[in-house]
Amino acid sequence: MFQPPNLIDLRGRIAAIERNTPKGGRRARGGLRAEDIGAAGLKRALSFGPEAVDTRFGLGGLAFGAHQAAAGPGDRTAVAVFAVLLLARLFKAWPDRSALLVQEAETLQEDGALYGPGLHALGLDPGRLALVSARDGAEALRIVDEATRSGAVCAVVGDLRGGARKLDLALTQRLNVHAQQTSTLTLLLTPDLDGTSAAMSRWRVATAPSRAPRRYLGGPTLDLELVRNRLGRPGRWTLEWSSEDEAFRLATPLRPPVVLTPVHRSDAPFVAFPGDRAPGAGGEAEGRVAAHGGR
Amino acid sequence: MLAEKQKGALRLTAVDRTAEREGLGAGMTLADARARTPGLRMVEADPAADLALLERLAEACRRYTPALALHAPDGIDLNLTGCADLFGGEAALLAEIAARFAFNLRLAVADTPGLAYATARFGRGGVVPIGVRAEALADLPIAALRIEADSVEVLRHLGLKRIGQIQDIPRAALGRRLGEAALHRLDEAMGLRAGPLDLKLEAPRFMAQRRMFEPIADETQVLQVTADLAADLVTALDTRGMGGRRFRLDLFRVDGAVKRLGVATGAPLRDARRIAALFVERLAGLNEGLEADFGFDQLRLTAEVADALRPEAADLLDVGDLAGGTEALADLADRLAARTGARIVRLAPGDAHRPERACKAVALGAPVDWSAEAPARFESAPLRPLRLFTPPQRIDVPMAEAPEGPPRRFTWRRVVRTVVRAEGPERIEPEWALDDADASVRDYYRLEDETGRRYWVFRQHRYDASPAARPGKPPLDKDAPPEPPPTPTWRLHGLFG
Repeated sequence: MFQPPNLIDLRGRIAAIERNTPKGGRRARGGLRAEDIGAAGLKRALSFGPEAVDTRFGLGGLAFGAHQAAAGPGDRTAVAVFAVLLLARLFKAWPDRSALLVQEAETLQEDGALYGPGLHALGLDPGRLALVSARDGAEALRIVDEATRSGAVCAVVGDLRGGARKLDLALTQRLNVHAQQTSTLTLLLTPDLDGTSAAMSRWRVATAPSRAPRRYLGGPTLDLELVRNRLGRPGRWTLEWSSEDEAFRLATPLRPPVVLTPVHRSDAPFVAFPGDRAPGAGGEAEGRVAAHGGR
Repeated sequence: MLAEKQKGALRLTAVDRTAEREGLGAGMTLADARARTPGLRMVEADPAADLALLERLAEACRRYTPALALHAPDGIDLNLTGCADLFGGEAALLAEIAARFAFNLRLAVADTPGLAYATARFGRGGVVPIGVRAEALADLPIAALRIEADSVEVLRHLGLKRIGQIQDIPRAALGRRLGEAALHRLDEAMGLRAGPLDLKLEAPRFMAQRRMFEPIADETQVLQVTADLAADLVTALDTRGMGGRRFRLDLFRVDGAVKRLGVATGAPLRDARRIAALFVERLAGLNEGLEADFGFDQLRLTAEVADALRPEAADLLDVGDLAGGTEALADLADRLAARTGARIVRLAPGDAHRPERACKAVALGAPVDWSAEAPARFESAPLRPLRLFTPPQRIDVPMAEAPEGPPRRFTWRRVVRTVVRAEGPERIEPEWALDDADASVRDYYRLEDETGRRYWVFRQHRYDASPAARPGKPPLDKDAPPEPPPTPTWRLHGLFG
């Protein structure tokens, strides 16, 4: 059972850390030490899969608490995919728990509604995801706060637009504390990373070109930049999702293939652009063009 | 005196005591009345305003009982079952009503509505003791039974003026002379049969109320009393094994106004703490506050809708802390609905293959089962988008770019996107049972552009696009070349991310 942190102990630890940091209040390199993390009562919520990512966090993955992920105007679906895949990892680690997703009413018109078969295709059971639509940004934040404090769900995702402008240090710190106390992963999806925030980690998410061979689309591929990390150093990775492992994988860098091997996918629909030649018949140049994505 | 146009002439509808002494009565024409008494003061009757006043009176009477009905144009019937004790007995209640309203009221309390009506209007009023119906009715005139005026005339001719005289007549004879309706009225007054008015006056089964010695205006005090009322209500629900689905809190102000607050829950509820918590949220969500003014002197909590509550569910509700699981989520959903009106939904599979119907939002309590559906993906690639646009968005595909296959370039939201990868087509046909006859066939493609964004795009065309299929229009010129098939339209249906 999750034990709430002993506040006096925690205050003592924080005071010790503050005394030990150099002038200017900069955190020591590497973030919190392992024993500080344990004493602070942080608990790991989920791991990403690849070691390169998980070792960046002192706990081996994202901790319960408040996190923030931002995407520009064209990538809002990408950050939603990121959130959904994190939820899929979370559900795998914690069976029998549900998640709540809060949306603002006007974004439904602009971005489209969440689609059940799409969630299912990404590996998330839509029956474990509850959705609620808030009138505006302030109400969305209130609902996120209420849901985090109640501990009824193991993850709260807030898809914020106008509400993001109201995020400040005090609010995010409060969310963080409540989320740690109730073992909730609170993920705030915002249009940008402006403003101060006390979130445990802050990400910038963008789409990345697919690494699948030929012209196939392959699994979701995301370009993730960990801008701030309270449990370790920042980083940047391109990750793709693998459905059979139900985990992320480091994407292979874009490179032309040495030998172009034909791919047998008799049951998958395949389309060839007019002008394409059959594989093996002078197709190396075509293959290289395809791998570079036409650039 | 009040006058109104009736039967083609201005007639009096109500007269005061001075006019009554002069011999004027309702039904008399104004001309006759003026002839008799020259110094008349006449006011135009306004039945609408009278009715409005009656309704306001009835609202103010709701504090005594929630079960009341108007008896137009000048009466109110209240069902006082179980309510009199709160006010110190029936006689005390009558005294309070008389003192509260500054009208000339005739009040009576009796076992049946018919008897109360008769006693109030034609008798002395007051409290009729329990069980003395026949004796109480005996002295009252027959008009008190609310039967037709001609029947009353018939009986008067026969010399029967009091109810006591007709109580002993055999029923068959009475029925032959006066009709069934009169017999019904007599039975209603005697309590042998329930009249139609009785059904409207049914009191709610689950109700708890409190009167304050001193009016309360503070929100915390109101919530404290609500918590006590919830505890009382829960005991009543418990004895019947039921839980409430909808609760209403009535706050009665000292000046007669009533504030009503309602909450609803997804599942039947019998936990006093949770009911009180729902009202905490409801009060917090009020924009204009309680508007207590001088305070509330009576609170009433009613369970308007109640359902049977299974014992095993009740055991879970008694657990001290709702730690995780569906109960906690249901509680959160109820609280959010009480405060903000926001509904929590889940996505369930729809029973159709047309994409916009393959998914629907259902309430939190409804069962959702996706295990029967296979996830729509091939290896790691999803075949269905994460977000769907309703309706599908228009995109512009230059004609030259897409002869038969997927487009190589398209414009959406004024940005030109170059397609680098494509998969498809996946043909989705209209459903004959659900779509109308000219719904289109769609060929779906999954596209990726140079930045890696992925789109779910379809080309839409009809089954048979040849000119011969188009009805009605014969070709203008037989030698003209055949018309080209209509250009298909492209639309964007969803985004994969």
